[in-house]
Amino acid sequence: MMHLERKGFTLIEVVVSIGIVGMLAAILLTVLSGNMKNIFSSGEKTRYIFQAQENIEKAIKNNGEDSNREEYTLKLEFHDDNGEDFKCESDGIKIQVNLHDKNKNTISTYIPQ
Amino acid sequence: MSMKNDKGYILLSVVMILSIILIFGLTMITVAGGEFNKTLIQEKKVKAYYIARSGAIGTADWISKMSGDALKKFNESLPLYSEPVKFGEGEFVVSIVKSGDNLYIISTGKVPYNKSTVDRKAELVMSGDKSGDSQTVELIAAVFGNSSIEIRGGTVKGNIGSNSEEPGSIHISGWPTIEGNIEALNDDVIKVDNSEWKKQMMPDVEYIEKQNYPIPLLPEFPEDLSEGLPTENPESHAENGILTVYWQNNNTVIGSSRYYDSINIIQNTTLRVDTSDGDIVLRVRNLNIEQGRIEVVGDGKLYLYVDNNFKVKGGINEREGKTDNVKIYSNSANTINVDNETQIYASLYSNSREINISGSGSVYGDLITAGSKITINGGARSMNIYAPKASIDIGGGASVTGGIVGGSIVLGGGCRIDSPNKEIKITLPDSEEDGSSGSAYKIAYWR
Repeated sequence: MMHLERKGFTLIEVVVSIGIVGMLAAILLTVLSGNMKNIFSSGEKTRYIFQAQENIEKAIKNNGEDSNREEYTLKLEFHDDNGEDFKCESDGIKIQVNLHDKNKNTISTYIPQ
Repeated sequence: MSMKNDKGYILLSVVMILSIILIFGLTMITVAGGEFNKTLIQEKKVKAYYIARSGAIGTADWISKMSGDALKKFNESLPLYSEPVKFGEGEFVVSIVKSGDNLYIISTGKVPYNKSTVDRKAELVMSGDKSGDSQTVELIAAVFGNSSIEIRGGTVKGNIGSNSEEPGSIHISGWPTIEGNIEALNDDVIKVDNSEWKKQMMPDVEYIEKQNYPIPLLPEFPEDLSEGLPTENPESHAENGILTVYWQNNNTVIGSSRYYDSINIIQNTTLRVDTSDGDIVLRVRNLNIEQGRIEVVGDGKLYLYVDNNFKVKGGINEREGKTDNVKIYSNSANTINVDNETQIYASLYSNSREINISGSGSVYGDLITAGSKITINGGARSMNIYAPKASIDIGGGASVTGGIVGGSIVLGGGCRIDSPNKEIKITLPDSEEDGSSGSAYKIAYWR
């Protein structure tokens, strides 16, 4: 009968297969776990960005109170098409809002006084 | 089919399954990497935006404080472009362009990312302040004539003065009483006819700098008002934008801002303007109060703009005697007569060539005009008159409580000018400022 002639997987086949599967799975898992970290940190970062935006808008509204602020003079030099210069100065405050509590990553903006 | 041929299929199956997992995994990796990158770029964009915003708002602050020659030169030099300015983690550049009455401040913030930069723009619009902010002028004298002042009689409680350098431009004849100083550019401008008066009554002379009293301009008239019936009185007789108040619809109420072709008030009737729900703006081409009154009720203000005819015989806002809740802007070039029992409790800003106030007719509020003639005869009224290019003639026992600025002023006939407050300030809706070709800008909105 035909089915009597059927052979199972050889030991070598099984070992090689497990080996390949194991190797690839190990590589894949390593890469995927790294990416999972990135995915989570992306989510966290997005949250921090929105929070920081909210904070900086609040700070702009209340004149930088309750945030990191310093007196600042904004200076610009303008020129027209004929090359004539205009010097612009505006006294105000520079506000800095942290993007993340654990590092010094900040958003900065200026408001005139 | 021989099963012998099945040999090695497990390897093939494993490779295929792994390939699928690999493709799936790589897709995930790519997507996740892209998302992470996007988040980083988003962070840079936010930083770049607030850097750009700093440039725009700083520039707007600088522009909003400009005036006079600086503003004129600025307007002539537009468009302007800035050099890059370092700020925070990046830098910004600003360009200023003008379109119509508006200024557009376009600021671009840049933050470095990898070997390139992430850019974001912030755009701020500033509007020309032509009709917005009013201008306040301060009077240094009870009676001040830009080109001349002649006092033939009467009493002035307060200083008199003139801007003129013409000899004799401050001319005192007769026997007037002046309870104040003479404000003059020099001694030569003062001419006193009566030497006895000079001995006994001559006030002290104060030397002044030339005063700037700009020609007042009317504000821009509102364009976006709805036209039609006052909904509060659907039975009222307003057709095709013409509202006529007479005995049948006496006490018609207007409770919202509107435009009318004409408002006629006849037969000693009353048109009520109800400002309980807020300020009301009415624009009317022809205001004809033949006999009657406009009464303002509520805590809000009434702004009444009149394009052509301005005729009042009766009263405006006389019920409570307040003047600060009604402002009338009349663009009529015709003569305005306020006579007999006509009482206007409002500030009247006018372009009329001539204004006559006589009998017991009164304007209890500021009278501000770019016109050329004002005549006041008889009666008493409380108001400031600001008409820097008008010849003003006050006589016939007229009594004015307030300050007067005119072109050439003649006081006579037992008139009385009483300026109780030494510092009188008059608010102009707008003015032709000498030596300046542009008006200031103010921040309108972010785009």
